[in-house]
Amino acid sequence: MTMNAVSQTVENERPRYRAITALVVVLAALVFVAIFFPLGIILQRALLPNWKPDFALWATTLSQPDLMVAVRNTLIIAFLNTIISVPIGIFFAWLVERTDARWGALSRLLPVIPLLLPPVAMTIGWLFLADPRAGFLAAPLQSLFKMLGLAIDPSALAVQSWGGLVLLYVLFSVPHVYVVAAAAFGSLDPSLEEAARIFGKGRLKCFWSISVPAIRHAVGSSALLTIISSFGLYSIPALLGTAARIDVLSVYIYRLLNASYPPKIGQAVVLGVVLIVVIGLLWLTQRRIASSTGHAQIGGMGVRPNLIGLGAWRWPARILLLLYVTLTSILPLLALFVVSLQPFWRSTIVFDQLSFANFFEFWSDRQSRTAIINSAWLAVLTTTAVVLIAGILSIVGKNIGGAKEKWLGVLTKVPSAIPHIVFAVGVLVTFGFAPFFLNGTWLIIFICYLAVYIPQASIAAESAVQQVGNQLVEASRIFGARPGRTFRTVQLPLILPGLAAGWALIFTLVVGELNAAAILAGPRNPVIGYLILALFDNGTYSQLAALGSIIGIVSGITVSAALLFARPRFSGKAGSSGD
Amino acid sequence: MNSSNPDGTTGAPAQKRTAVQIRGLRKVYRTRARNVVGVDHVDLDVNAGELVVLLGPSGCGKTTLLRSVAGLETPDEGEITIDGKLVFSSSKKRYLPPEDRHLGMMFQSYALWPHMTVFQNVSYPLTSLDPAARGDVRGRVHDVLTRLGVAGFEERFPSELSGGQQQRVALARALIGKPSVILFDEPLSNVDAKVRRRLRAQLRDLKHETKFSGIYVTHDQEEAMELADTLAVMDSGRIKQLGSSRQVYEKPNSLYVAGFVGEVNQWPAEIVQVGPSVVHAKTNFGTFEVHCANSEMQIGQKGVLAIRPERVDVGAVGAAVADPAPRVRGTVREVVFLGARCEVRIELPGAEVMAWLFEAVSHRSPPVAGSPIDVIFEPGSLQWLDA
Repeated sequence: MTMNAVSQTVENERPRYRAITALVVVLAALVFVAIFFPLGIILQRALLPNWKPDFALWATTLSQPDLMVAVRNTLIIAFLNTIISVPIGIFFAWLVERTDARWGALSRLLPVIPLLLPPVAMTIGWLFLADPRAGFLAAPLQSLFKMLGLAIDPSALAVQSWGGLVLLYVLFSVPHVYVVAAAAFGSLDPSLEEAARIFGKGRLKCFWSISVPAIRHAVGSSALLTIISSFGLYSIPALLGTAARIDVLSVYIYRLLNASYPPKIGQAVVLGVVLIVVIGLLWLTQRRIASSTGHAQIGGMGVRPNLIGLGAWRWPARILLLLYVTLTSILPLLALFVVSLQPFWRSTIVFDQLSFANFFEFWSDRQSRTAIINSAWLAVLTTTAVVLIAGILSIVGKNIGGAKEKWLGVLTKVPSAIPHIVFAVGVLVTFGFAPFFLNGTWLIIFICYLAVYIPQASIAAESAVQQVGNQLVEASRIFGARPGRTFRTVQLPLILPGLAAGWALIFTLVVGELNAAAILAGPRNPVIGYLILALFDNGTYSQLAALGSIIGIVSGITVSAALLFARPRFSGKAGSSGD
Repeated sequence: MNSSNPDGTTGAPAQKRTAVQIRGLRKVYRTRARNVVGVDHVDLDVNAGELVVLLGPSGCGKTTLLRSVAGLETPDEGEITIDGKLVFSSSKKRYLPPEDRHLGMMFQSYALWPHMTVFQNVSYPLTSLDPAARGDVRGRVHDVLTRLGVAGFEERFPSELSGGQQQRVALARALIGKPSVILFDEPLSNVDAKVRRRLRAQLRDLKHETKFSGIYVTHDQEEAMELADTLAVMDSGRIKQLGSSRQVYEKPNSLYVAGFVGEVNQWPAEIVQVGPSVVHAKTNFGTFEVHCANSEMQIGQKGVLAIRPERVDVGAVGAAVADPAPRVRGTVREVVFLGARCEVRIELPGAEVMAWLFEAVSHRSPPVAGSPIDVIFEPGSLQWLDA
């Protein structure tokens, strides 16, 4: 095309754009089918079985005596978890973002490290640490208490207890709260706190009366996030709650499907709908509160905030952060390694008997091998697909702007309000049997993961896209680049680091995924999550530890590689030569 | 760009080319609550080699107007022609995207791509062109960087440069493609005062050398007056006054323009007598003769009497003055020393006046606060402005 022809043939540009538009529409449709088709089916099954209102199913479901116990337990755990995790997470975020307790860029990553260890691995690690008889910490603790002259029943220190459950829920939830709160503190105008300090408020008082209220929006979001994950979390109660005889809703739903014959799919669906409604209402309330109180105040230009000096409290604060990482990541991983090298789980280490036999045994077992290979493929495929789709949708969303962008954002977040285990039930009843017959295939797990991880991917993609200033894209167009070149040379390279970080995070989540695996995987399509449950039920703990170690190591390597690859090479030293 | 003419000039040298022509441009932002008029029926011509500065407070529509020329906003009504090529027309349903308008632009945030080196940034507009039009890319990049004093930074990333250097790289990128017109969106508002002054001087030199056409948006009136061939003062989406810096400063056509461009003394006044090309305006502290071209003035009409502070002088009480300059008795309220000048605030009956005294010129000791003084208005400097 010659230069002169361009001005007369704007219309000719359309077909190329049309191809892009078509691709986007297909992607969006794919995602929305994966999300809303199962949801619709669940609602129909629960509310209109056989297409007419019938509440007999509701009556049976809700009249089960065990259900009330599970609901009560779930509520107690959600409540305790929220009131403990939210303050701790926000306090950590404040320490790292706003005070001189942080040291170097590393400390900003410190509280997020537990996110890299799948909750399954952390839970198994803690099982090895704090089992009353064979836990590594049990014997030392008991002798400590004996030394202090306190007669204490060994089982009081068990991790398979209310205390242990809440502890693990908290360890799991704090980093999620931290991420939300840290982002809010990061964009908060530092002069608010500086003013408070000038007017003579103490450090802690400043935290409670200025910093926390200023990010109340983030406080609300993180509390909601904690409640939702408390409702839906399966791995922790499945591995610890059973032994402690503490049933929660997610385990109850799993039992309806897997521990009764024939599977009580109807009851599981009804409970799923109830959970969706409850969480949806919470979500709406939170949004209303958030919009009436406004967002955290964003300051002007890139001002480097003055960090609040903690003085003598600086090192205690740092030790607190390190202790937290030790509890969530280092100790459980160590426990996993040690047990995985033992022929069987015991609380003393006999160095002569340590070997890699468990790992080899694993590899020789066909079922285990298939599970690991399946999980690896699924993780790579779903993560890549989800991140790509979310990336394209958020770039397009940004280009469209306005109400359409907002709706695209809201729709891709819907699955985050649905417990994974419920969603997996929806996928099972939708695609598992006639007419799709996908039950027992890897495809059904893929579909479920696609929908379940879209929210995380689109959060990562949206923030990456937001960080690319409008003017950078506009400049590219002004200087003659067509949309294709603008995307290739400006948008994509700049959002790639953000997408890679999202990729790494989701990869670790998929590798250690237990909820959907518990519902959708079986002997015909085993994945790691299925294998974990099987090993746990059989009591083959040293192999369980080997598996946990593998998950931990693979996640660690993948995340480091992704972050290393994605590290922006252009963030060099700024303003070195004076002008 | 005209392919038949390799040096980029067009034929018909006698006729002055119009780089940008804007007719009847209107842009309304619709929100749920209300409609905000961004640009309201604006007509504007930018001649080849002319730099038009759009001056106004934030929200006056100057940036919307610039972005409409760039193609980054789609106006609701009107036509835009760039270099004889119709790039937007609401009636003919024509919209040419920015990449086909052959423009250069400097952004407020520099908008240098952080993942590209200086060389990659500056050569970007050239590599957008077809291979034949590119020429020696490396040579052209080197030339333009040398001219702007940032040669040798080719392999650095923008984050490794200072603010002023980034600004000049951004300017190099805007210049290199020899665009029909260069758009400036408050490009100097992010650098400190000293660098800003230097970059303005450099921009003037470049303008003199390369004779580019441009539209420059700013809210800084000093910057506007320094750079403008033609100054357009904008308010609420309209161009209030269009003219050279001197015209706009000395003959503002409204109170708004007078107040926005420079400082001005202003008092409510009423016309009490109308003569040929002269009116008499009555204020709290006296009646004054004002030259006025407007022949439609009427007795009883209300407005404002205005004078620039540097046109106000002071004299000892009762001292004789040769020419019959209008003078008023007042009391010195405050004297502020500002280096190059001395600002004197004088209380008049029912009003206040500010005078700027330039000591180097007047060779006299400044007035003393609290003492009586005569205020002298320079003949012909009082202006009548409609309220």
